[in-house]
Amino acid sequence: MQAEHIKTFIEALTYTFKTMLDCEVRHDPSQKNELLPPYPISAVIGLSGDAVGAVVLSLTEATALKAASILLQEEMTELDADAIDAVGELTNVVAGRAKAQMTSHELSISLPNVVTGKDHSVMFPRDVQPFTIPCDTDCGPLVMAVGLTNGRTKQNK
Amino acid sequence: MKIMVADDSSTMRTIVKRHLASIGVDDVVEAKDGDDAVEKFKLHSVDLVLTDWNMPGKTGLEVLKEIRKTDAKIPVIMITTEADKSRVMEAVEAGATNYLVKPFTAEMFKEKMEKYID
Repeated sequence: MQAEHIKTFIEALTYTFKTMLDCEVRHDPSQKNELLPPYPISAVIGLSGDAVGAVVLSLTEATALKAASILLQEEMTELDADAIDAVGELTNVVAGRAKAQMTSHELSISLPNVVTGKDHSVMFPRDVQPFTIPCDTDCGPLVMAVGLTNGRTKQNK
Repeated sequence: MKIMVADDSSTMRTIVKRHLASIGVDDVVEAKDGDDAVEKFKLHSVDLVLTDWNMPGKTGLEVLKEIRKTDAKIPVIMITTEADKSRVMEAVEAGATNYLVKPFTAEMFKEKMEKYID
């Protein structure tokens, strides 16, 4: 995965959280969290086309509920269907924005899948090494993991 | 004024309804996917359609094309993450009236919608 793609996803995350949640995102690119997923909620979007991979937002329950509360403008106290949908949609928008910025690749994104549970695992495609980015946000901590194969670009098709 | 909002995300439908309410539109028909949108368009006499692109079943583009078979004039606005030029052109060529890219703030939404709301 190229460094410019990582920057693209970080920008997408930052912009989406600021626009939809009015929430700042702070990340330390030097920190790499090897444990994936570190938190009990994972929102997964698959990427396909000129590159194959996925983007995952791993969140604590508190982060997820805070984000859902802001989006839905009501206090969410449990991880119900509405809160899960909110997390999925947030991840969908992050992935969609990143995809739109990656003009050298024609990509499709899947519908979001949200997995919950303390000991769940998220597997990337076999030849994809995910890059994990721990973040602190005004809603709470999260980790974004992105992995893409270096597929064909529009130029070398 | 009656507006149809088609998006498979209940969160996005809630957000859009909230923004519509803030500009005086309370009569909203919700569609949870593309097939639902096409059916509800036939059943309800709506004045404007807001539709996502990527949905289960029919996509928003397919919903737009279905609407345009019977109604060439109704405003149809795509609300979607699909922001690259080729996608926008595809929607315009299919008859989309306007385009709003996610994510958007309440202000961005109002600015886009104000010319269509009476």
